[in-house]
Amino acid sequence: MGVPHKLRDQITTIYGKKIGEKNDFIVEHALAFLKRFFFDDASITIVLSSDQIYDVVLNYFVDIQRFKERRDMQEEQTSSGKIAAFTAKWLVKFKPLSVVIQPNSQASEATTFIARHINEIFAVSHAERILGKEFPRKLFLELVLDFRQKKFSETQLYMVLEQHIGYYAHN
Amino acid sequence: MPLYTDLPTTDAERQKMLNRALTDRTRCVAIGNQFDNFDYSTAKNGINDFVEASFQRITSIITETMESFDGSATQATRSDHNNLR
Repeated sequence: MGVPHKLRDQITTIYGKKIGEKNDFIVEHALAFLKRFFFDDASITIVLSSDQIYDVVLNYFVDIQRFKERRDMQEEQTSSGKIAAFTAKWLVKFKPLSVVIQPNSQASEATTFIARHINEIFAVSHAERILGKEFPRKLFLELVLDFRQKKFSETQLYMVLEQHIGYYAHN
Repeated sequence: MPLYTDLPTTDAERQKMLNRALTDRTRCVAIGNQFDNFDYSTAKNGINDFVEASFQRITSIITETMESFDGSATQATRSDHNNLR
């Protein structure tokens, strides 16, 4: 599933600007997110994989192209709902964030829950940032748990995301 | 029994297959690029404020949920206990 380094170099050289901007955006958000949630606790180790984020970005653009090719050529630009949905899909799939809590940690139950669901929570939060609006609290949690616990096929995952995220993007 | 496969057997064939995959992938990314006019640079600005607000809200959602799980669990246990009696 990962993108070979040779391909990365090739793609970045030719189409670097947009890819770089999206990559930086996710990295910046992920770093701020991890630091705010976990940085104060020395018993928690946080890891951010730039390789995985790069894979998220490239696969996102491939998705956008395939989507346009197959379904939606009339539309000039991709809606923010689809941008959020496709990005969240790959964030959940590649899981670029990791949090390890030491056994002797005094972390609260809420912190432990957030650590266990870090990629799902980040994916939903990132979608919110792209859409520029917050999901209702109940929907936020439902999306996190759905991402975590349900086994989606690619099509199902997209449909669920489009249903939730796309709906809120247009309303 | 004969085996038919398109797996590359020589270095030249392997290279050819890799090049084809690279070209296809690169083309997809290039075209996908054109359809995305989201302003990532602007969205990146103010990300710390956004994360701060998210932190408060997400922590509150999770804490609230865990408390409600605890509440339901306690209630269920009491109910089971009463039924057993």
